[in-house]
Amino acid sequence: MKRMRSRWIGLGVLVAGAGLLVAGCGSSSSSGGSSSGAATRGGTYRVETTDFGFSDNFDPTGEYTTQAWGIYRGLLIRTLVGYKMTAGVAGNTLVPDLATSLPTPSNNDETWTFTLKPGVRFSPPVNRVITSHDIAYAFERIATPSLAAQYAFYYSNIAGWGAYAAGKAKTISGITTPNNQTITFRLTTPTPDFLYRMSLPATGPIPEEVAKCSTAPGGYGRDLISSGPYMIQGSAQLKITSCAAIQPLSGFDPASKLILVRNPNYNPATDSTSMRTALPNGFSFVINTNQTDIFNRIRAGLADDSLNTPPASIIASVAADPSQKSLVKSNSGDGTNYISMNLTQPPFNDIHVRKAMNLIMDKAGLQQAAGGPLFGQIATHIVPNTMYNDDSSITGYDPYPSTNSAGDLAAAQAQMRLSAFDPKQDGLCDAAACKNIFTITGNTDQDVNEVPVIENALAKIGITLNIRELPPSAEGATVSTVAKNIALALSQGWAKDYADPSTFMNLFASSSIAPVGNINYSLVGLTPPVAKQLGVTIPKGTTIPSVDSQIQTCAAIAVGGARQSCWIALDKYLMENVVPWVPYLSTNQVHLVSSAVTAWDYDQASDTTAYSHVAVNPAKQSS
Amino acid sequence: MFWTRFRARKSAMIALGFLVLLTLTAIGAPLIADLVGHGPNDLYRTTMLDQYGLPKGPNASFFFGADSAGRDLFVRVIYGARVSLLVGVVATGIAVIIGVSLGLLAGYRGGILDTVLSRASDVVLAMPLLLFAIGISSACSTTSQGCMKGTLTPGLNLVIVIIAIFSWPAMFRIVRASTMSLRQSGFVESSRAIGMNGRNIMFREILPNLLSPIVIYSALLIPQSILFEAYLSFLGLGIPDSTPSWGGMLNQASQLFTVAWWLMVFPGVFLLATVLAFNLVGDGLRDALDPKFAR
Repeated sequence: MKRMRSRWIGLGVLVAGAGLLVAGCGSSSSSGGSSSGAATRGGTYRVETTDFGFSDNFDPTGEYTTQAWGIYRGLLIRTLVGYKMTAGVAGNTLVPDLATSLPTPSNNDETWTFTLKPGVRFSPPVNRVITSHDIAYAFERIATPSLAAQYAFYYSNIAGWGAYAAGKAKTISGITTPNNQTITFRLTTPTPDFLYRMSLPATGPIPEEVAKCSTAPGGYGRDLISSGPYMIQGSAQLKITSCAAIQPLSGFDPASKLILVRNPNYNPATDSTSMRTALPNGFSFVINTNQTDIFNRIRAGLADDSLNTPPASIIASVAADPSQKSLVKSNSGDGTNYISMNLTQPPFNDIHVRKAMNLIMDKAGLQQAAGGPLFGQIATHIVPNTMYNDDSSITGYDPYPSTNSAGDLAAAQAQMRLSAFDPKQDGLCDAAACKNIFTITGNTDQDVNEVPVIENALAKIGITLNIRELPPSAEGATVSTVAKNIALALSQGWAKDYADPSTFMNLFASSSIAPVGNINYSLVGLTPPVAKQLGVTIPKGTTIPSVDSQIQTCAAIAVGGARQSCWIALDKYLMENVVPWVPYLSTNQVHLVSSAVTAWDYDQASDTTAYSHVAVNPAKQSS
Repeated sequence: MFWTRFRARKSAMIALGFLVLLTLTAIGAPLIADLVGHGPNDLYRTTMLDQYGLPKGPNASFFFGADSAGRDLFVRVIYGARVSLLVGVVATGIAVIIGVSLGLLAGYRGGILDTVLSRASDVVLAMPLLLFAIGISSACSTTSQGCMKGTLTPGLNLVIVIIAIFSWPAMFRIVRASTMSLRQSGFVESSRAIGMNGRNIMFREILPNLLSPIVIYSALLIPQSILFEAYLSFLGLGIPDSTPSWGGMLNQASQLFTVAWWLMVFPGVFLLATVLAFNLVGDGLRDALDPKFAR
């Protein structure tokens, strides 16, 4: 798993964590619509995975994994606003789901009122119509500290949030439900991207009569009540007469399976086929710890899809067979892989060294280590182009160009000569601080594959590394602990929570700096007083740049062209005037599906299979 | 007499010849790399990786093919011999020094000292070796200082220390038992009678009589150390990737061997042959040094 601070990507799912993903089937844009026959209703879509890797036991309040979000959005949870569950820019465009329309904010983007569609019902055993109170209750769960919601920060500017979280109020005063169909959110600060935040699965309706019985983090995941076209098997048999009567649903065992069947209360008339066609009769998500076996089973028609990324051996063999090539799907993961440089640690406190790092990096080599173009495009700036809707003002932008993206030695050495770490003026980082730089990386196969490429490149400008390869969890904990003063972190990754560049740019806000669990690895915006508190020494003569004001400016602009232009300008500013990263790969999500799959699409918002748009031909499925 | 007996074991002689050749190859690794024209960390990704990033197999320039980063596997296997031999010999050496010293002390002095040292060796033997090694490796990897104020930093030195820590008790037990037996013998009694002090008795009288079991067991301990290093590197806890090691290469091969057999075969064969050779030499030494095993 690539460090996915924004959103944990399940084990082996994001390209960067996917082992030796040396493979490719042409270009990296194969979106939905795959078919090997007419898409018809029926059958079971069978998905296998080595591990669910859920972060909160599938409880939507705290679940922060890509795979869970894909399952929620397509199959189980309808939110006020959602997405079309398709690939590309269209898949990142908001559409109303439970709400009748996208609301227009008032009061300077601080008040948002939604009207719910009538007649949308919860699955059995709750069966009743979903009301605005069910949405408000979901927010109360997010604000309850003991339930450990993992992205409550997106909602903390709702009026009265803090008082409720502190136990000083019985309701969140900024959320009002004047009737069953209406809910209003009153914010304390203008939040133009609030609609995006309302698309996150934790904000979907939750029936209090069931969820009130789950007082520990993750508890509700075993008894999740659906508002979507499917429900967890056993829901109809669940007794909810009292908390004592509620037992875990038979169709979900975090250690082995998640079985979904049709929700009899789902009314397609309340939904849109552009969001959900819901053709299969059911879904099975089953754990199979042998990753190679999973993909062999998919090729044999014994399974249809996987939460894991296909391994090299399988992809190579599929690529060699023209009849199977279309079974490989590659779509933008809206993520960036990068090398993080700590601005407080010599020699990276010198912007010329950071620029030289960007100029010398063999990005083509790193792309190859990731498996080639199928697994991602070379990144030349921070936010993936897809997040800017491929805006022409940024698509060709590369402040550190080189032939074939293999690094530009002359330009890198010229930058190095401008730094304070090249006293000999030979274009090499000569100072002691340039040697054996303490560096952290992961120990996944791809991480390890990237190391020699990076070491070879940096050696050309006199930088040598003392590399520690750690398991993903230890790596994440180490890099995110500020006091450890990690100078260089390789193979880092970041992906969006929702389709607004703010979910990347917030990484560089000084408010993101925390002693433990820090996400601003470069420490952009660190001030001397905060540095002292954190046990960080800022080298004499070093000024740490800040982009807080730019972030605030862009965040306050309404969603649209001006806001996008603002983020693009900040992206360029960061790349040229701050240089906290060496971005090298805009990651793709790669899937291999069986020949029994007659319809397949990619959910760009979740960066997973669009489960609501798949179909299978049971006659082609082996058993 | 010893050499005659040893030479009589053809398998031991062949194994010894292989080890001598391997040692010379390891020492001359930079020279071989120069002759081949490929350094152990030089990347040939445009020529030795295909469009999918998969390594290409053996050819006239890359005798063992390339690894998954596009490096010359032949050169890396040769360099890997350095690590294996270094770890095997140094870790075993440290374990032997500790085991022999403590074994002599415990066996000769007896009493509380013997009880404490024996229980200490029992504790070490009772530890879940691999888990402990993983714990130390992980704990010492998250800061630039490593562990114990920089005494233990990840890499070759840490691997050697870990192996030595877990290898000395077996040698300790052998030496202790033999010493306890020898301290009652006539020549030790005579030395004591003429006023020789304990240290001299241990190291001048008893130790020379223990050389055979020590040499034999050391020869058998070396392959264990080499394998242990391979285990640690296979788990990604051993030596950094920039230092070629056979275990690390096998780790890399584990995901790719179905499409790149050479990644598994060449380091695996060298590891197997080296461990087998040390075992055969150990057997030969035992036969040559221990009259009970003489033919």
